[in-house]
Amino acid sequence: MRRPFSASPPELPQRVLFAATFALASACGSVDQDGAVPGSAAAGTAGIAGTAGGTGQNGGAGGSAGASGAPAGGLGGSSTGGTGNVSSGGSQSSGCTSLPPVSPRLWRLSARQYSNAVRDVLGLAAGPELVELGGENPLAFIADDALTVNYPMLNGMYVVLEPVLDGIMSGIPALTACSAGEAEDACARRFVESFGKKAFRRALAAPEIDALMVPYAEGVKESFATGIRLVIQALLLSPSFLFRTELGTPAEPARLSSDEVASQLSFLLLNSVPDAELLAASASGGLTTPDGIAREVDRLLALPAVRSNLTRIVADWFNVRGISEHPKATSYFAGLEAPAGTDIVTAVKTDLTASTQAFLTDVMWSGSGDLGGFLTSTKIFVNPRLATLYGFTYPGTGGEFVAVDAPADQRAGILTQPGIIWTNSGSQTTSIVHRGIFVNKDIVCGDPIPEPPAGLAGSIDAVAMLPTEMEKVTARFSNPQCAGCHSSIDPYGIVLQSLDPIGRYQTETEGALVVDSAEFDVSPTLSGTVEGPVALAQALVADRVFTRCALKKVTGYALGRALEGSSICEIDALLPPFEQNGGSMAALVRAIAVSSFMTSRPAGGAP
Amino acid sequence: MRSYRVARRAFLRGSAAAALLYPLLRNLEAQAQGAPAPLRFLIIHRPLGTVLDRWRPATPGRTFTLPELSAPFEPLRSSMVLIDGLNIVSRGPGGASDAAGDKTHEGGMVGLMTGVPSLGRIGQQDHVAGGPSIDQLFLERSPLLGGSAAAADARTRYPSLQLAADIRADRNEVAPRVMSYRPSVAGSNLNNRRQPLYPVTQPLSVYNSYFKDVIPGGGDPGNAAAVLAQQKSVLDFMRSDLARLRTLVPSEQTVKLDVYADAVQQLESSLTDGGEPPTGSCMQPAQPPSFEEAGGFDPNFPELFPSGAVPRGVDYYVAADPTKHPHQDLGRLQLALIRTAFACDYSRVATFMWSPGTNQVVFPGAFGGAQMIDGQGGGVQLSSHHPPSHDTRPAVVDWVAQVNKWYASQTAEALLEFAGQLDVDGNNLLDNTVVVFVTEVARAHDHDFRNAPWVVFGGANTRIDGGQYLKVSDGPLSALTGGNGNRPVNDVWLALAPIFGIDDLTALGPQGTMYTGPLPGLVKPA
Repeated sequence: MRRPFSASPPELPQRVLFAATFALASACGSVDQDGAVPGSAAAGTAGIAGTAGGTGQNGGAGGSAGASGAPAGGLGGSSTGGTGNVSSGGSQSSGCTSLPPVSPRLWRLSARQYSNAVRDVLGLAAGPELVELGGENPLAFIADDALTVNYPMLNGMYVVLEPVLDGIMSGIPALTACSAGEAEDACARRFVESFGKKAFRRALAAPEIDALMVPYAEGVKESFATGIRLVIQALLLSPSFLFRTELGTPAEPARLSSDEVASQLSFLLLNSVPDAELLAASASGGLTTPDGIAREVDRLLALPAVRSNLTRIVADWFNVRGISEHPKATSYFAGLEAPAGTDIVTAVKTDLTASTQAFLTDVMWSGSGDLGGFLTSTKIFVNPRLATLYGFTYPGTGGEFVAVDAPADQRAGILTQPGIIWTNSGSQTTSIVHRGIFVNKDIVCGDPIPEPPAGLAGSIDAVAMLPTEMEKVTARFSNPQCAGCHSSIDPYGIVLQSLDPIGRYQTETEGALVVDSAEFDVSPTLSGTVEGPVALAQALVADRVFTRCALKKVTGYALGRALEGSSICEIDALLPPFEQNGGSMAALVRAIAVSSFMTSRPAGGAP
Repeated sequence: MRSYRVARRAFLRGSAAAALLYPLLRNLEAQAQGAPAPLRFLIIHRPLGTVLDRWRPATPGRTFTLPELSAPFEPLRSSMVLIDGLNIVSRGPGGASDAAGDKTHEGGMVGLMTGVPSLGRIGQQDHVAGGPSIDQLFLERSPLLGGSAAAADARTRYPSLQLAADIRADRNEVAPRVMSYRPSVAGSNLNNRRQPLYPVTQPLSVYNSYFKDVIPGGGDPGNAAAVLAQQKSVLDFMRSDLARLRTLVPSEQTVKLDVYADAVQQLESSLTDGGEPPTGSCMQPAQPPSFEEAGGFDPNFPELFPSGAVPRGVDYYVAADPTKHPHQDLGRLQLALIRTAFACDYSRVATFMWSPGTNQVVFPGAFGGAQMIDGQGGGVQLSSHHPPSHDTRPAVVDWVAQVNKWYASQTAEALLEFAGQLDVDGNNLLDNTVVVFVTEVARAHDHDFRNAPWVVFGGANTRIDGGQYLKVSDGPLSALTGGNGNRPVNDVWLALAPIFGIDDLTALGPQGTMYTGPLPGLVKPA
């Protein structure tokens, strides 16, 4: 039922038109490539562009993007080619760029890490939840390492700690575990040392212990428990609790200290403070070698809490929490009954969040765990409501989420997960641009696409007024200045046109048959005509484009840096160990965690 | 076990703390001596400009008629200067305009609030503020606004407030969701160089941070001194830990500890300052409700949604109950809290953002008599404000304009409450407050920066020359900036500075491009 996209002018062969407009030949985008020689891809592109009539589209596009200011560090090499070609941006002679060094820093805990840390040091069932996050974007994938603690956040912590401290008062004898006959002050000092070490993730120095005995002394005037309570309050409001330090030691300032390595591993894997084993490994010198670190990583990877956290990291990478952010017209849900206490759109959003999370969990932790499953699995998890909405037969018996196998010619992995499509569509439009930006940003890790140059406002207005997505994409491709950037994103969106704004499969849209094929020249297998999301997903897996993107995303998460640049040498080097260890999420995290860039903090780098 | 969940300063009542200076008492003393009330400074941002010809009056001067989109300000007419002919200016390092985000929502925000070239750009449009924002600059340099330039006994407890109704934006960037900045610092990492003062979006947090301490009752007066000593010992330990870290971190990182130290100081102030029950013009606000972002919390996904109350914003239109307008409720509560903080003299400087320029707030498709349409021209049920703003079909433009008008209307109503608020000198609060109503682009569909629809408000004691439509037109005014007849918005800031006793602020950014000189006609001579 589908027909290929036929752009005007109709007499121009479709294949040539798209090759000309989407060959990653503009300065606007480039993608990780697997062993491709930059020059060869560019040469092929230029030839095809010439075939399309020598309109100078690519050169013009490159010029416009340059004028609008390519992001720093993104596309340094783009101006070297006569056609403005880029196939692996920022190339050096080796074909890759170095990871920007991270220099010594304080890195504030995220709100979630704060909550988890309070929970774990006090042994609570759940930690307190902050309302004021000191500027943190709660939906951010990467924790911003420029954040600090401002007054509303500090006050918020002060307020939420009060009931927590009330709640532990009766448990203070157990927390302190004073020996029979032990003097209260001696027991308190022992507690300060042991609890302080848990909270600050390092042994306290003598002056710090003395300083903590001051609030104890104020409190013990009232009672021993009050003294201990004040010690805990002081520790949990202090900067050494709120900041992860990456400062090294005086003897070895360019490398994380052993305690700092323990914190790095625990916050990456557990999203919380180090457990007792990590603290012990640090104390015994077990974290000073890659092998020692690997042992702890392997131990941690077996813990359910670590698996849950890694699933959460991937969910944030794909912005699963964003599902709830995107409104949809209620007309999509005609005939579906809203459950009591909410409306149908909210109910479906909640369902989709659960469905997408179940999908990620299934790929990561069932079977081989091969990351390729993110793009190839045909499973969709549905409850009765989602089954009805998306046209599946509900295979379960209760209300629980159960996997159905979607038709393999219609759906493949994350690109076709209803929740993901929901998030990357308009309220009533498929939004080729937004879907394309999503694939570029989160699936292939292409370079960021700059905003349209100011001079294009008139063209943008004209495009915005066109009635259909395909008319808009045709208009963008027929304007060289638009095509320069949109050729790096729109084709991905075109291929996903077979999914409607809420992620249902469709064969018609906006009064016409769906067009879902486009021409690519991204990598050896992602080239030529690609029709539909299944073919796109297969190509992205075959060339390891997605694998490299996954390594870059999780490395960026671990370092607290959004990484740009198409081919980063240190990340390329992770590929062999990752694949040798099975190509799973665990293998990926292990490869990153033992890398030297994780523990190196040279002075003079970017803080 | 005695609970510590006490009203903050309530535990000081009946103790020797009465010797402390209370801001309120300071005000009352000033009033008794016939001295004026303090001046205050408030900047309010709303997104996406306006439709100029439905906003600006036909004739400059004092006998103008406000057209449809600015009509909500008619009741404030005598305190208002509506200005046409201001150009928002955004510059990057080295003066390059395009890389600086000229004609973007994000670049516009940074440019209008700091008035100086940015330090550069991160990612797509995250422009890095190159200096302090105007509110912070005034705070630091004015002897009248209660900041560090004021006499030690004339400083306010909380130097400034940063509040917002919504901070959701197109991307995870700082530039669109922040109005206020401390001075930037040296360093090699752009993201670490700027010093954003992030807005608080939850009214309950504002209340807890700035007002909870004056709740009467709840404490144990007999034990107040002991509890205070305990809490001070906790604060002392926090300070000692800050001091220890300060010796270990690279100099570029010490600013994080400076901000933390300020927070400790403000926490201490909230515990120890004042203690008198509110009287007269300083009325204790009611405790606001907690707003939750739509779908922001789901107990089924504790890992994904750990918190029930981390609102980045809430929508105007809620499909489940179209009679509710959380965005309006939240925004008005925030502005009311600023009004109370001003009235109680806890702060004299504040910024408030309705939403970033790439406004995600959802409004109904039928709004203000307009009907939003889809690509085929059919009516839609709902839409967020920003995405359709690039569509120039008349029906869409009208809908976007109605949302713009709604922001003007809500702001006007909030400012009327300022005008109805008794100040300590017997005048109303607006008589002692300068309010600048700004926006980050002049025209939404193509992000044009020229003819930015800004309004300055200020009553009797502010020297704002109210009651006029000030048109920056041909002639001497425009000659300085060449062709378009506009003057940079910095000229407004330069004109306002002397009101606050800042007489040496004569430049902001490069002359000729970012400023020309104080805008004449806005402020009456001293």
